[in-house]
Amino acid sequence: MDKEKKKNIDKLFVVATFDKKESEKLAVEPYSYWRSVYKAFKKKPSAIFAVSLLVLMIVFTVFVPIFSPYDIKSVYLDSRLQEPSLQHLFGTNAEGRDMFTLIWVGARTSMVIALIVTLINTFLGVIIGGLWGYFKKLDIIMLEVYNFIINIPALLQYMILLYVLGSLGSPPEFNLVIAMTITGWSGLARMIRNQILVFNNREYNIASRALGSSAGRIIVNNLLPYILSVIITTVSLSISGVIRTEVSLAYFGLGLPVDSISLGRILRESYNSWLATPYILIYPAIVVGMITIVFYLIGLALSDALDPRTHR
Amino acid sequence: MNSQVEERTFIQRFASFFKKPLVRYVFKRIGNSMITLFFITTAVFLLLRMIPKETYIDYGKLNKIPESAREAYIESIYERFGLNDPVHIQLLNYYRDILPIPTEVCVQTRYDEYWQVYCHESETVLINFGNSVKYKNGKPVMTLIEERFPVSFKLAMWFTLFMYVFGYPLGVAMAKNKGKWVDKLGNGYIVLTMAVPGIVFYYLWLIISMMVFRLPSVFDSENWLTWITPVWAVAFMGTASTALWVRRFMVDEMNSDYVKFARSKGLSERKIMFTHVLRNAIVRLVRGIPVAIMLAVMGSYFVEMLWNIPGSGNLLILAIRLKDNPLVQGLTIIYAILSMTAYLLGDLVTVFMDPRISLTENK
Repeated sequence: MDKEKKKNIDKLFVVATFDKKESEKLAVEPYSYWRSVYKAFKKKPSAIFAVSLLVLMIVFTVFVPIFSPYDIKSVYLDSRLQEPSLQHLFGTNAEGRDMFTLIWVGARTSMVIALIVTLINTFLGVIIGGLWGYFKKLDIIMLEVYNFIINIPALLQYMILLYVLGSLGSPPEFNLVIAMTITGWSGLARMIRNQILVFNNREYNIASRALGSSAGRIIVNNLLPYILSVIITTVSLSISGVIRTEVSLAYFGLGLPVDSISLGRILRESYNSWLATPYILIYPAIVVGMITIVFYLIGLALSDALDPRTHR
Repeated sequence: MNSQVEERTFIQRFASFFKKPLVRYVFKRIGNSMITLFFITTAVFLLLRMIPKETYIDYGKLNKIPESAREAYIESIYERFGLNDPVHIQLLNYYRDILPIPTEVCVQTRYDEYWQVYCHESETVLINFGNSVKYKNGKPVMTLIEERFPVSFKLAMWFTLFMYVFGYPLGVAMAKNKGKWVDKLGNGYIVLTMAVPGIVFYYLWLIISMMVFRLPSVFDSENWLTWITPVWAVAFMGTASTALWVRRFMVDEMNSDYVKFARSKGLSERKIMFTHVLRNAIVRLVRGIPVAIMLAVMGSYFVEMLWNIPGSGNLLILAIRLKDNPLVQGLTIIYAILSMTAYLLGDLVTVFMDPRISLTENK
């Protein structure tokens, strides 16, 4: 009896062994910034909708111009201003060109221009904003430059720049990109400068500076990761913005020339013959609206998801 | 004590007036704007000088002139617009011209027997932006602006009025029912107007107003029916942005400590809303009014062109199409002055209305 009892007691009180592997395990899942961003993004129905629509549109912009049986450069007098049918999904325009093909070719041009402009603006914005925030001596000059830029409405700036550049004889696509990038970086640069001013005086940066890190190292390694969410949000919203600007400029007859096909141009051209055939204006308008809204929704969802305060 | 105050000289009083932080802030802000304006004028002037001066020649007129006199005609045009001077002299002349001093400007030019331009009739204007090159027989830019601006401004006032009349209640309703269907619907509307180019909506309004409501599509300032669609088109866009801002301010204020305190003290939601939240949110909104008017003047580029309204936005587009440099230059500077004044007024209004803003810290 006694022996058995003792055995049981021995079983009850076993000295715990230390397992190194086990001790490293966490009850809570480790926090990963990007995984949390992905999770927060996935939760939004509008984001999922926008992304799937974007994929569809990219498929259209890539494949429709390649596989379309219609030539969009020549004029078909026998098929002018046809109603939408199975042959011509969105009908034909005043030159008899297939609107469906035309719209997706235009979307390709507009998206490529938007992408280029956004990339250049982001690049300039990050570099200028980084330097502006980091070197305090630049602040006096840069604030003046910034005041100068925001005091003239953006659309007026683009109009004047395109007017001047247009009379110099350089290619119009190039002019459009230049006009939108000369001052387009200022918003992002200003935001980055403010973020840097906030983060620059945090303890870890003071410690890093005390240990002798160079300016470039501090900007790239310590500050940029924090600012990344600002940059990504600006980029995703800016694509929509550039397409909107292109459309507006085309309406004023500025920007791309008559023979090039972009969303703005198509809208402008359609306006001339909409009264007899309203669908010619309505379809491009819907597509333009869809493209800009998709990019905008993705930008909004990203900006929410990238904010660490919304995680968990 | 009393006698000391009376003994102060005029200069001392004048000096103490300028030592007040509010006054100093106002003057500093105006001074800064003047400097920015100087830079803007210079930049616009130099930018437009990059355009080759051949654009000043009206080729339609040139073809009517006998070939032997063409060279003299071109030379006289260059002379008239001062294009033969070096750029820095032109710039200095331009600074002198745009100072607001009444000056005589040529309204109508004629040609003598050698095809030289001479002034037939002149007129006094306050700011001399020079003469238009091709538009309306070379009228002074300032006269054209004076003709065109009232319509634009009237339109802008209507836009702004409707923006606030519709946008303010919408924003308040959205903030009060945060997360409910009113908020969701309003947000959808806001995202739609933010994301989709304005021109798409303007086209749609044009189609709807003509096809469904049978409203006239050509603007006539005498007929109020023709005002409806353009005003409503811009107000539709503006309402969304007003609602967005109102909602954001209200939500900010509703989450602030003093509102939570008022609620814990047992104040009714209605009272909190009207005596605390709305009052504070209104200060930040009033700041936006000048900018809203300015943006409406700018936003009217689209509607003025679409409905053919004889306003200033339409004039700018026309000037660009005609390649009329002095007109473009004058309009750009006027627009820059307008937008700067709007921002300035917005800032000053906030300073006067909100006692919490301390000016000494403002750098």
